[in-house]
Amino acid sequence: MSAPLDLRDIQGNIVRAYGRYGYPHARYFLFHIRHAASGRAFIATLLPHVTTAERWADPTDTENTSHIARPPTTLNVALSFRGLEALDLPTQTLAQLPPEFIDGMARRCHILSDVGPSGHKHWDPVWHDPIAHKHGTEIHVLVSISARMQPDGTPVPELEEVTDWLRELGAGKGIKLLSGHDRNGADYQQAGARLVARDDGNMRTDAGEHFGFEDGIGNPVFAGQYPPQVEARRVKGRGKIMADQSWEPLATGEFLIGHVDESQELPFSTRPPRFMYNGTFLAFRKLHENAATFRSYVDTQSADYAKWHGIPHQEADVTLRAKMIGRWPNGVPLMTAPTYGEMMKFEAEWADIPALKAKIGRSRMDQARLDTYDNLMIDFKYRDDPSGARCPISAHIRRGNMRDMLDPRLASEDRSTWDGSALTNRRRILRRGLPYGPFDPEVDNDSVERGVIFIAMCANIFRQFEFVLQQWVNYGLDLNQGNDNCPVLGFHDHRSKFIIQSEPDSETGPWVLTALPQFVETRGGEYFFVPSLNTLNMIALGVVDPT
Amino acid sequence: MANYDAGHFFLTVMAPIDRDGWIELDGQRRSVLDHVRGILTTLPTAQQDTPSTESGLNSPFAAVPGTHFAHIFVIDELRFNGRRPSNPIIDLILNTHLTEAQKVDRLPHAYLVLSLDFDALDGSDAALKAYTDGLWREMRDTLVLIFGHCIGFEKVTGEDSFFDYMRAAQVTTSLPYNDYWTQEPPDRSPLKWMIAVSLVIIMLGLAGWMVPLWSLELGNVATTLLLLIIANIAIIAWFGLTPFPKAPDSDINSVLKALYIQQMFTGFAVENLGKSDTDLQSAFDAFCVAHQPAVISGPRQTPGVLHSTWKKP
Repeated sequence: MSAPLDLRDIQGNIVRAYGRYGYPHARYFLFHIRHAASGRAFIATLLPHVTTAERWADPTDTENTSHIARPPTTLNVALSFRGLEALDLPTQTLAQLPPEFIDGMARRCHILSDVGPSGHKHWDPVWHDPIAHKHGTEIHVLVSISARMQPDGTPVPELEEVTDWLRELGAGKGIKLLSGHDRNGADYQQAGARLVARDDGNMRTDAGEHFGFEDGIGNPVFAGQYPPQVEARRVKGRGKIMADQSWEPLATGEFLIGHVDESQELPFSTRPPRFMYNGTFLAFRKLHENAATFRSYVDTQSADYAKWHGIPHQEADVTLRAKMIGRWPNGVPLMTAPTYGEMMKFEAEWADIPALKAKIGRSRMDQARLDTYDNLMIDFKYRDDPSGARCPISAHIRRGNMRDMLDPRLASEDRSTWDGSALTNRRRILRRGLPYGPFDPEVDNDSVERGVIFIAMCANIFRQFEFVLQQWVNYGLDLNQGNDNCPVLGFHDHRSKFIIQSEPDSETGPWVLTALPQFVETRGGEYFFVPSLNTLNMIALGVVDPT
Repeated sequence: MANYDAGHFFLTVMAPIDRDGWIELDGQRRSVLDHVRGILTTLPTAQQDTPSTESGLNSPFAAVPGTHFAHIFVIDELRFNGRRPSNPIIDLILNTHLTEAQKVDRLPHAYLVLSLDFDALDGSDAALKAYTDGLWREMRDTLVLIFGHCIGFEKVTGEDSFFDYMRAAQVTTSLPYNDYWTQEPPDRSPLKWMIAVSLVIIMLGLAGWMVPLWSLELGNVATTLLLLIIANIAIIAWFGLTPFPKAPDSDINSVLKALYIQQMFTGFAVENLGKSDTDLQSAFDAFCVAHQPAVISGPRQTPGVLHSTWKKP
């Protein structure tokens, strides 16, 4: 059973990836608080506009008609450690916050591999400040806005209204809206899903990112996040794997502080306990994608791969991309369709899916077909591929979420000894980001501002976000892959390689990609705390009391 | 088991340092413990990360034959674990004054601790001597610099007196670190012995019950039970004292050879992707000549570094 949560006390971005709820446009604003009193007034001003996790009306759901309609834009607030300090919170409350949050993202560069081309000197000017501590430009508040779109794909006019309002607030005496995003020094970070035209000429969103992959498919499901019927639909492939191999939602406490977590404990919290209750942490990362390098590297490698395997260049190109990610560009997992031929067959079998997704007013049968498709996209276990012959052990999705890979009895024939995902359940993160920059395949140049705004949310940054990045993305020990790291997201040097496993008795044998260039570079980021609505109110009133 | 296990000698040495000692620096008397810690801080580690690799320096222990891991540090006092818990009812009966301070244990000296493991055939003094001779040979100046502040070290003048000093300061190691078993070790369960001995005792007990002829009164159920418990504990203890078998190829030179071959073979595999059978065979022959996979004394990784550089044969 799902835990009942006070959804109206919880910020909406924790339970929803807005991009997947019809909000393809986003803007991220950073503010500096000059005086604590102005900061409190600022929070008080924002408070009535904060989007909560309250259930929204679903046009296909006829049972829950009392739910509110989706707003045209959403607004969510998060505070950095320096922001909490600037708000004059009691030292006892501040001192017991987690060390990685107090450090901030910039000082964690060695854990996050933010070195070399990802080093701070390459970050956007607005993100420089956590290191330089320049007076008056320290990042204190993150305000995230998401907006729905009009039929032609442009954002609803409310987005510009909210932007103007935030600019006005940020021009006050005590609050400063920080500028210095991207190369033009913009005063907000833009992000937006890729939009593609439907048959009727109107636009629909597409989850693609700049390397040409569908992104954000696998996101954890935690208890209380969804109403029971939605949870039942979404938990497969997204929740945790039990010993009997069934799927259950993860414990609420992995993503919401103050609730019991996967080790049957309450997550770390400061005083007063109410301060962090129903809140969580947010790691914001601006990740630049060297799309041209990626394209040309895969293109070069495909020539040899095509020759050796005796396949056309285009097939080799798509296969190598899929092997690196673990999914085909259309999102179909290698675990479902391991070869190019099977992927083509799968695509033909499910050719009606784009039309179904675009269809307004789906029938129950339509929904059932979409659900079956969704299951095929996400419901798999690595027990079915211990050698990595289908999905390479080092592939991006296999590193980001190991599912049952760490089960000590993965190879056991005896079902009663299986453990499911017990060893990975405490390493899950909610991903709430969107791509940024133009989706123009004609522009083949690394210097174009494009990439992904990567937002991770979890109850413990160190145990969840930093662990996944340091140990799984940038190291290979847990996977028996030595020093190999993620072929896409990892920090690469001249020794970097990526092994594509094959069945031991296959004729072609394994393949190795060598001298991986740097495909993704960090351009900024910070750790934030996402307070509950009640905590925001307490901060605004200046009554946070640890005694 | 203590000191020697799984083919490795686990040496722990605690050399006393006078807590009240001092050394003179720039006309000021300074704590000798602070001084020794200062030397240890500047002692190079193995090349285990980017900064230590870039430094070009390496741990002096890397030069000592047979060394796997070495750890050297100073302890100045026991950690106080707080008051020993007591039962309030017993306290009341005994009229214990809870406000009176309990005794706080203290060490007679501060100690320089050297803890390391090395390859050895057994846990004998001869095996230890062979290693300390190597230590003295390769690290004499560093050892004198550090251990020179320890009580009694002034008597050390050469290999023999160094061994005597280390032997005298050695403490029994009860917690070895060893991670070379990569597969499940052979089953060493004492269960077979326990069952066999228990059966014998029970049979003797039954016999004693039917024919009461021994003064031990084996027929007595309580005696039989007591014998069962004692015998089984003794078997478990005996098994516990037997050294664990050595993991295959777990001596340091084999480990260094394996690390080397692993990296060279990865390079070879990458280099020869997609080659024809004939080309592959001749490339592999050249590989075997260059890297001598079966010869432990052939090319292998330098001790104390993380990587070997791939060399095309």
